[in-house]
Amino acid sequence: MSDLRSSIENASPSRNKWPLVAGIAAVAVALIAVVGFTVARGDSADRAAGGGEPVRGGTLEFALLDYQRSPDPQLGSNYAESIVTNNIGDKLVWQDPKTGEITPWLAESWEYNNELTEFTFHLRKDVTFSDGTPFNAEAVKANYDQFIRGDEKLEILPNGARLFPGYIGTDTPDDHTAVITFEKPLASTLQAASITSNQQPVFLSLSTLKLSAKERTDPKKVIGTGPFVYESWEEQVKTVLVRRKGYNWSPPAIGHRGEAYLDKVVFNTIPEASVRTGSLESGTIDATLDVGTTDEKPLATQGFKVNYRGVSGTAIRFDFNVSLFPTNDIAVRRAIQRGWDREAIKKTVLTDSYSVATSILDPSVPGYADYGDSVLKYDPEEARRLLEAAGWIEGPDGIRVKDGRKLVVKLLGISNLVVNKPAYESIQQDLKKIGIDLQLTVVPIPDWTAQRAKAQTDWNVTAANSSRNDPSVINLTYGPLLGNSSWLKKGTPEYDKALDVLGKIETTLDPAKRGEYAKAAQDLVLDELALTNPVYNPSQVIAQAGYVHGIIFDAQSRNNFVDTWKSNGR
Amino acid sequence: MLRYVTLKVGRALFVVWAAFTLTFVLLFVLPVNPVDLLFDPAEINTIPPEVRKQVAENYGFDDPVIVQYLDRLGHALTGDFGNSVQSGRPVTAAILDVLPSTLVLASGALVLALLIAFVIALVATSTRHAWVRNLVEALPSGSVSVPVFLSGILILQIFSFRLSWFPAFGGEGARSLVLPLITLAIPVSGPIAQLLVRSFATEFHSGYVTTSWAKGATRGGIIIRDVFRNASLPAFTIAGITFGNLIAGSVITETVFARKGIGRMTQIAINTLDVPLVQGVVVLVAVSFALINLIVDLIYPLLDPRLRATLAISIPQAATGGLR
Amino acid sequence: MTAELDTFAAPTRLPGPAAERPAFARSLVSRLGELAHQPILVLSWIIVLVVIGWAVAPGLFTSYGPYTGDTAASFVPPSAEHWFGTDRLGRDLFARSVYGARTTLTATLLAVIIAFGVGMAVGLVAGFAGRVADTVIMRVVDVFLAIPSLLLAMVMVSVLGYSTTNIALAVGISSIASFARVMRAQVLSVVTQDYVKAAYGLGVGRLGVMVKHVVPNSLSSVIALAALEVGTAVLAVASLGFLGYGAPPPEPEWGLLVAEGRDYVAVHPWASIMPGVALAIVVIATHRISTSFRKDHR
Repeated sequence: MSDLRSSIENASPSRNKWPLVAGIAAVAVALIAVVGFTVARGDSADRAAGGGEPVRGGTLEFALLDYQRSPDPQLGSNYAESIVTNNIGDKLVWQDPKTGEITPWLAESWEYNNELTEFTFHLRKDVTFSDGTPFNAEAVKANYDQFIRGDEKLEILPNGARLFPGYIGTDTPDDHTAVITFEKPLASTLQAASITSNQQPVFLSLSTLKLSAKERTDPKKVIGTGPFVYESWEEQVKTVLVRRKGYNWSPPAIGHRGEAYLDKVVFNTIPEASVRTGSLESGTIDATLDVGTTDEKPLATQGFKVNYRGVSGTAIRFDFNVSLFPTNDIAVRRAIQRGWDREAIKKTVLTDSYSVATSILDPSVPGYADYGDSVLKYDPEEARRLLEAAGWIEGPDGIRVKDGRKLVVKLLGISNLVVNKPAYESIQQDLKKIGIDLQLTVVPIPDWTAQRAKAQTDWNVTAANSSRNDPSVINLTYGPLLGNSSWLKKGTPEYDKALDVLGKIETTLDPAKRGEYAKAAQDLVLDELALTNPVYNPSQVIAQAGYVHGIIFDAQSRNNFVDTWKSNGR
Repeated sequence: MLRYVTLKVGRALFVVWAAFTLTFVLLFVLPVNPVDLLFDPAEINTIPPEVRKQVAENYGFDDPVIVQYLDRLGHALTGDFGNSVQSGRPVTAAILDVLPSTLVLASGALVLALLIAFVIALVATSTRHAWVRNLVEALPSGSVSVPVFLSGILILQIFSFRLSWFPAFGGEGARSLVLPLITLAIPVSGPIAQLLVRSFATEFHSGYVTTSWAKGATRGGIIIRDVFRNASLPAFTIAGITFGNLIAGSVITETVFARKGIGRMTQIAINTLDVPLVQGVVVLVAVSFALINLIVDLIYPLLDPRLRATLAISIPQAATGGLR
Repeated sequence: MTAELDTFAAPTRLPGPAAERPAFARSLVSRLGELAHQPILVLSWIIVLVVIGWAVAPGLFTSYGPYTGDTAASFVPPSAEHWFGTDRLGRDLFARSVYGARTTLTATLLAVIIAFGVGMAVGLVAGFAGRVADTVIMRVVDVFLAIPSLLLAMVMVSVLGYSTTNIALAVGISSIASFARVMRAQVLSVVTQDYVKAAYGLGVGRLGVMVKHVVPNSLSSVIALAALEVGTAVLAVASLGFLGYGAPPPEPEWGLLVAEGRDYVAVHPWASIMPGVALAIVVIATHRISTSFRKDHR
């Protein structure tokens, strides 16, 4: 059986063809998958490839760009927070990063009613929190209630409201059964229960749930069930985790038994890309996330392992505002989709760890379909033809004009990923050649957020991505009652169409039907309504010393260190 | 004298209050809703309105502005700046946590900067070669002309990554302090050195030095005995500018070297529009600034006999007018 | 508060009887003669003039365009063909520096004009309009001085939103206080001079004295500060770029060229160092010119 880790960690050589092949494979596997599938896994690729038997002990010095704002694991939304959370807490189910399939974790099995409004989870009986209290149905209820509803008195925000819309409550028929019910069908419930990015339904002890937001900033008081526990948290500087003694319930799908190998993991926040790279080279740290794109090759040449996984969810995308001139013209939207050179971006901006988008979804998301040869293909002639046919005539300065108005498209983007700005600039250059003036405003997150409030009236294009390994992410993003990122107007046929087509994704868990609905959703947003222009698939890239093994990328490309070890054991 | 002191203290208090109010006003005309910043930016449209409302209530963002202002001011008077929006931690605790680290860095850098400045001034004054003087006099300009982040990154590349002499980041041990100290001291030393070079030159050509020459004193002796002592005094007058440079420099130095500290915290607080935290930091900075200047204002007349004399005649204008 | 920026006034010898003529006009006449003996000053002026040339007619200095690159020539090291090398999209960095001069100098000029204009007016009023106005104005100035300018600029850019103009505004406004202080100090020293008293004696009005004597004699210190401010503004824009606030792409801007190039420093160091060195040279040149204005008073 080809191992999960081997495919994730050693994916590099065959990676270029991966999106296509693996995408189709992922769909196929998802279609035939049987719930509850478990496999006894053999030696990991590392061991087979000469890494040897895992060595226990040692400290992993890990570097990353972000920092954990608070030790409260249900609060976080950035990468540092997601990763730390994934290592101190467990969830009901684990999504297989390779197939997108939902597999057991703290819940051994589950079932749901036909309407998809009631989900019953049967819990493991041997799980305890790190303070010794048992993990049971009561804990599930208390956690979900607080996670989804918040607690005003304790100043806990309703962090999970967005993941579980229409949550009615959790029943506990017995000590190890939890029944979660919703007002309306929510097919994405299982994936939501597994989610590893942003605010996540990770379990905290009953004593932790009684603490206010302020009290939870003391890491020692934050108690989870995970393979590591807090040792310390220094805001903006580092978080230190130590091994949880007696841990024995990592997801069966990852094939790890017992406690974590490492004694300690230190998450160092290092804002500067060059300092992260230099620190790895000089041996101060063992591994780093957020590797600068130009540093990947030199690090690989020096013998460091460069691992990556595309972020499952939507691509980095240009969402068109369909209620604002000139992107209200579908010809303009289609011309932009076809008007930029994918090869140029691949050559100058992206490394092998990243890929040009071929759909709104990353290839690893179940239901992904490939549009790289149709809508999302560089075809400047077709783009020009579309514009001419719609009455856009080339003006004296090369920019097209219609009814005396220039073809100026204003874009609002985020500067958080180093790849964004040069990629957008490259597209800008190409679009100029076909007579479209794409004006870029690429700013830090707070400014983006501020401008986003005026997106409906001020911006033709907003650029962003969302990470969630489920096709429901399309509904979440473009659903007129949810994200409505393209500002569809109520009362128009497009609005009703989107409401109908995208909403269907939440109504079934039958893999064949779900695949069909996902395809219909992609057809709608990419082709029929042309609501978006996907640009590239972002990636999480880790560079690590040769003696570091077994860093897992999960289904949202966050990392899990339960199976990580160092050859030198230091 | 008492009136002079009261006046100075009153002014210092006014500055602190005004800084508090100014930041409040600035942050409240912000175009962004602070509630939005608590969520993943890509998913803002998916946050249900009732969730937003609850969050706004929790943080008191929906009270009338004047109520919020008076509430914050009242608490601030007791040293309570509220809780950081991002972490939920009390602002005072968060600041006190990182303050020592910045104090060590800033005071170390200040000492180093003073040393550099004095060496430059001494060399420029004592050398007999015009070209050496010209070269040395150009150094202060050079030191403030390279962006701090660039010099920091280059220093790291050379001394940490290439030569492995010092660790690249972190706040543990004295060795980890060396590179940040140098990075921060360079821009801070510039204005001090400029001032000293000029006042050394002025003193060197003044009457009492000529007298010493006549008495047969050596060049070195004159510089150390007479010039050094008298010309150092004006260095006090740029305490304010030096303080500003240290703060601005530490924002960048702490980011480059991934150190914890006030500077880095400020940058992140502004970047995430964490209103209570920004306010806490600004007030801290204003208090420090006011305190430093108050001390200088009160001590300076005691040190400079010429000023002491003027002070007796015209009190209110003395400290500012007399220093020229 | 103390006289931090009085460094600019500190060693100044007050204009004696010989300074009946406005010092600034005198210095303009005499400066040409002095220049011949100061090669570094000459060089500084040449550098500044060349950079102004870049801003006015960039096409004369480079044959490359600043916006479109050759994707095949990504990250080419400095060579005879590409003096500063190329960036990620294959754009010539020298061309981007040359064309960037316009954005940078415009922003800088705006910052200096705001700081210089408003600061001078405020300082003049404070120094000339009597005790009450002076007290009120200087207390406000104190507040602005108490908040380090980088901090103030960061908050202001957050509030106003990013654009080159807003950065210039922020840098300019945060420097007003310094200019106001220096101007006021100069005014206070000039009004006590005998020749000013003499002018009053001759029946010249307050306004007349202000225009004829106070302004011209106070100007050189403020101009020295303005020259210095040019460097400060360029660096402030660079620092803000480093902290995440950038000009709208593809507009080249010096501070941003340095700030953005830093991510590649380990592998392609020139991307940051070449624009950085150019920037440093220009800042040093403006400092040298600033000093020459001050030395007129020695």
